[in-house]
Order: sequence, then structure tokens, then C-alpha cells
Amino acid sequence: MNIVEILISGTTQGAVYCVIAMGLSLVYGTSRILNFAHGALYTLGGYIAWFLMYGGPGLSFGLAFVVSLPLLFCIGVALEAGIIRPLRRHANWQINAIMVTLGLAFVIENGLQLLFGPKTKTIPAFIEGGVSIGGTTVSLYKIALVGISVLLVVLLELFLARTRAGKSVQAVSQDLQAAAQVGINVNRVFGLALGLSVVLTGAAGILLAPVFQISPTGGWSPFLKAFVIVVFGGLGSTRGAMLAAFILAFLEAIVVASVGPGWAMPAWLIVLMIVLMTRPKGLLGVWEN
Amino acid sequence: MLEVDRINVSYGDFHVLHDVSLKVEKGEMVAVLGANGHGKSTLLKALCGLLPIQNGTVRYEGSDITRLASTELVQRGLVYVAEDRRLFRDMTVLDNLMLGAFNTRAWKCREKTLDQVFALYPRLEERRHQLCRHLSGGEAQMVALGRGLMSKPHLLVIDEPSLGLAPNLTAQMMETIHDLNRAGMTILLVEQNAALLTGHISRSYVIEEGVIAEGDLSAFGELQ
Repeated sequence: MNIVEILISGTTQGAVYCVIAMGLSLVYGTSRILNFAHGALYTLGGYIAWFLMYGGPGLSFGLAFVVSLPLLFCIGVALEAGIIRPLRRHANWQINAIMVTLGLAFVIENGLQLLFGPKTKTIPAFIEGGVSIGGTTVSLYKIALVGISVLLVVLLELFLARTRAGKSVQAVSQDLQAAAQVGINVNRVFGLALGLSVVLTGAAGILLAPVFQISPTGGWSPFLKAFVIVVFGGLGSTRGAMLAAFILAFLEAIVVASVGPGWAMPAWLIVLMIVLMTRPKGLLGVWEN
Repeated sequence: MLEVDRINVSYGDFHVLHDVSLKVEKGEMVAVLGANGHGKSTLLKALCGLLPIQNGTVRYEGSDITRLASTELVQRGLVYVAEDRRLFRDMTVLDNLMLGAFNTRAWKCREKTLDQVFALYPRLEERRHQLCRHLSGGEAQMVALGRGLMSKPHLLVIDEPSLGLAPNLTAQMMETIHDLNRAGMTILLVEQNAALLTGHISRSYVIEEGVIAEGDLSAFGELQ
């Protein structure tokens, strides 16, 4: 077991998990929706970037990434207004929202399969080469991956903490009625939250395409992981999700190096159970479940 | 300024307000009295766009606002202060106050309004970086009222300001609200403690089982 390798792997995975899980947590925190299409939207991000690069427009990776983000944001806003908001008027809408987003996940998957076929697509790493850290070679791509992920997370945190719109997101997540009372348009905040969430998960889908390739059903594994991270960190807490992402990523790196890759998820679930037994709202949870 | 004409409001299947009508003129301080569970809070929430009105009309500053959402109403200066304070508990006092100024009309002059709120409640300036979950009941009520003022209300609607306050604080709170009224702000409030209102209000209504009647404090005394 090589300590440096574990540190590198844990940091890289942790940074990316952070991006995916914070998106899921943001939507749960503001609109109380557990978005089962989060993984499919991760995949969608990969396909959008692939299409922009090889499907016609022929953009460079950097340009495709930058163009994808506003597209993903609009998709999130449209989904909120089109399929989530109408549910909210009825009783039991949260269960309905789970079913609808689950359905949406399959619609996206099958849509992608129809459009692009079942075969995996690849996007080559956007930076070649590597550097040696403590005798282990680390690809520049992985370093860039961490850099971009950290940047996304920092931007999100700054947005939430510093801007008027960001404060309105926080306000809605803390008290819906009070937010309406001070004149915040809560529907707009729900749209904003889902828009940002799709940007985060889609961006992760693009950044990871060189490692995991892109396939229509490839989003379930990241979704499941994000789900565990969010529950572990505390539903609705983006900081909790951040912390949990790194804890679980390092755990994964250790388990993969010492026992084998098949044990990563079981190890996650055991830790999750222990945490939930002693602390039912997760590490930094806002609500009791 | 506010004309409510025979509105009906239900909570789910429960019909709470029956043909409620009332009127508030500019510059008045009007109270709605009534015991707990008779629809006082429902009435205020419905007026402020937080609950849907089944039928009847509400006119405010000359236009029909019956179907408007709270976002639009706050923008027009119809501002609600909740009985249970409804602070953002994991935000600081300052953040709560600033969110009060969320509407674009109030946002433009938020620094000036903040100075006014701090002048009214120096205690809030001292505690501006505290999380609201750590405030005492009296301080929380100051933030609730301060946040309402940050919205630059034309008509301030206050739901039971005395709730959960110590007796010496309730008198002070009522005095503060009366001062706001004397300074030109129109106020509609509900209370169940009629004695507190003596000498402060212009007119009052009594609400009983969702039905409203023009009344005065002594009439309410007899009801109890």
C-alpha cells in the first residue's frame, strides 16, 4: 500500500465527488427534492460536451466545457419549471417528485441511447503528461481535475455566502415561509438551485469522461455515491457534503488499495450505517430525517 | 388603503374564514382581536399572499391584490411579520435584516434603513454577527420587526407581537409599534391580549370562529 498513491487518489476522487454531491445536496436543501435524475444529468453533461467536440460543432475541450455549462443551467431551470413545479401544488408531492425524477432518469438514458447508440464515447484527456510526486507519477490531467473541481466548489460557496441571489437560496433552505414573507420568489430560487445543480453534476460528467468514458447508463454509479455522500454529510448541508465527499474518497482509496475495488461501496455503506446510528442527521445535517 | 371584501379562506378541507370584510385607512393602527384558533393568523397570511383566498376580493392602494403572490405584495409595501418570528435561524442578525430588504425597492436604500433599525434597536447592532438561533425571545422579536421594517412597508401587518414576550417587553413592543404608526406607517395587527392595546389603536375588529365584526376593546372583554 503506497501512501502517496492513496493521498493522490483520495484527493482526486474527493474533489470530484464533492462537485457531484454538492449539486444533489443543494437541490435537496432548497426544494426538498431527492433528484433521482442527478446521475442521468451527469451523463447528459458528458454527451453534450462530446457532441460539441465531435458531433458537429467541432469545439476544443475547453470551449465545449464552457459552452456546456450555460446549456446545463438552462436544462435545470426548464426541468424545474416544466416537471417539478406542477407537482408541488398537490399533497404527497415529494414522493411524486421522486417517481418523476426517476422516470426522467430513464427518459434521459433512453433518449441518449437513441441519439448516440449504446456504445461508449470517449473524450481524450485535455492535458497530457505528468509530474512526479514522492516517486509516484501523477498525470497533469488529475491535477487539473482537482483544480477545476475545487474552483467550482469555491465559486458555489462564494455565490451562496456573498451574493444577494445566493443568500436567497440559503433563506429558502432555512425557512420557506419566511423567504416568501420577505419577498423572495421561491419558485425562482427552486429553478436557480436545480440549474446550478445540473451545472455541477454535468460538469463532473464532462471532467470524468476521459477516465470512465461516456455511456447512457453511466450515471447510476456516481448518483449512488453522491446519494451516500449527501446522507452521510447530512441532507441539505453543502458543507457536510463537502466533508463527507473527502472522508469517503479517502476511505475508498484505502479500501481499494488494501482489499480491492469491489469492497469500496460496502465499506461506504458500513460507515454510513455507523454514522446514522450515532448521528441520525448525518455529519453536519440541518434536519432530523 | 386596504379593503377586504367578504373573503373566504380554507386550510385544506377546513373552512377557516367566512366572508370576512375589513378596512384599514392610511395612517391608522387597526387591531383584529380574537382568541387562539379563530382565524386571526390565517386572515393576515391570506392578506399577505401566503395563503390562497378562495373568493372575495382584497384591494390595496387602489388595486386588486386578491391573487397576487407575496413577492409582488412585498414589492408594493405590504409586509408581514409572523407571530412565530420566522427568522432564518442559521444566519446572522445582519443577514436576516438584509434579507428583509430583498425587494428591489427596499434594496436600493438598505444601508440607510439599516441605520434606522439600529437606531431603534441598538441591541441589534451589538449582536449583528450573532446567529439568530442564539438570540433571546425579546431579541428575536426585535429582529422580526426590524426585518419587516427593512422591507420598507407602507402597510405593516403584525401577527401577535406580544407572543412569547415577558410582560415588561410586550408593553415596550406595543409602544415601539405605536411610535412607528405616529411616524406615518399604517399598521394592522392581531392580538389576543386586548389589554395591551388600550390607548394605542385607532379601531378594532373582533374575529370569532372565522367571522368578523366591527368591535371595540370592551366588547372583546365581554366575549372573554
